[in-house]
Amino acid sequence: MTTDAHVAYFTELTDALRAAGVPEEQAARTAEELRGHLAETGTAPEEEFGPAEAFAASLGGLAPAPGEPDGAAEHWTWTADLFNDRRMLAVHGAQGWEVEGLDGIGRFVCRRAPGVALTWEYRREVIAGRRRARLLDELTPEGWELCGEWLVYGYFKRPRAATAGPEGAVDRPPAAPHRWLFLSRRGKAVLAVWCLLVGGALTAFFVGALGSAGLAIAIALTSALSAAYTSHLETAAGRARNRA
Amino acid sequence: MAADRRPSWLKGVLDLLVLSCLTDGESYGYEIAKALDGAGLGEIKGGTLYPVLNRLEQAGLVEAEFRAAERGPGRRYYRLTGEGRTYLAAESEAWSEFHRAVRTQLHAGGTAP
Repeated sequence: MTTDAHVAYFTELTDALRAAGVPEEQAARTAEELRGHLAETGTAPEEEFGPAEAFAASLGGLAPAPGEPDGAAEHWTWTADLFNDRRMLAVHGAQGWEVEGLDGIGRFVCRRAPGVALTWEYRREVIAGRRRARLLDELTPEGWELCGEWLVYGYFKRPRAATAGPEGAVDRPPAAPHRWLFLSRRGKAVLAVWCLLVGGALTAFFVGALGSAGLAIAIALTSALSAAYTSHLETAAGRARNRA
Repeated sequence: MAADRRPSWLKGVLDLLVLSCLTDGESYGYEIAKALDGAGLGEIKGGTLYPVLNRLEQAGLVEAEFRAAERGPGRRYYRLTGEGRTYLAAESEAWSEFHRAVRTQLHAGGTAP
C-alpha cells in the first residue's frame, strides 16, 4: 500500500542519498528494494527504517561498523607549548577529549565519543632512559596509559571514571574548538625570539653574508637552543612546584 | 526489570548472522530478517538490516543483483562471495571462542548454565 506518508518518506530518503553522493540509479534501486520490504512487512517506513535522513546516512556507508559505538566520534587536533600543554590537556580532557597520540609535528590528535563522553585526566613525565620502564611500572597499575611521546616527555592519559566513577562523564560537551594552537606568554616570547633569530639568518642569507649551509645550521641551532631553553625553564618550574 | 541486552549483543555479530543466511544460496532483505527472527534472534528492523547489507556489499563479502518484479516492487538478491565465505568461517570461529570464554566466565561466577 502506498500512502502520501510513504511517498514523502521515500522522497526525503532518495534526496538525502543523492546529497550523500549516492549515484542516482543506486538511490532509486535502494528505494525500490525498501518499498518491496515494506510491502512484505506491512509496516510504516518510519517505523521500519527510522527517520529518513539518519537512515540515508547509514545506507550511504556512514553507519558505524559492527562493534563500534553508535554515531561518529569527533576528531580534533591541536597543540600547545611546553609551558601550557598540561593546563590545556586538563581543560580539554574535562570536555571529553581523549588523546589518541601525537602526530609527526607534535600535535595532540584527539577523539571524543558521541553522546556521553568520558572525561580524561593527563600527566606529563620525563620518560627518557631508564625512567621509562620504572614510570610505566608505577603508572600502569594506576590506570595510566602512555598516549604520546615528544622529545624526552611522555604523555599519559586515564579516564576520570577510573577514580570518579560515573561522575567522570560529561553529558553535554561543548562544541569542538576552532582553535588549534594554545601558546603561553612564555611560549610566545620564545617563539618571537626564534622568529627574530631565524629572520636575521634569512636576511644574512639573502644579502649574501651567509651561505645555504650556514643558513641551515643557523636555523637548526636556533631551534635546538630554543627547545633546550624551553625544556630547561619548564624543568626548573617543575622543580619549584615540587619543592612548594 | 533488566533492560533487554540483545540489541547490543546483536550489534557485534549481526553481519555474521546475515552472512550465515546466505550460505545455502541467495536471499533478499525481508527473507533474511524473517530467517533471523525464526532462529530466535528477534525482529531485525529494516533500519538495522539494510545498512549491514550495504556494508557487506561494499566490503565485497556479498554481491547483489536487483531483479524487477512483474507486479509490485523489485527485490535485491544477495549472494555470498568467496571472500565472504572465508570471512564468515574465520569470524564465526572467533565468535565461538569468545562465546566459550563468556560462558566459562559466567559459570565460574556462579551463574547456572
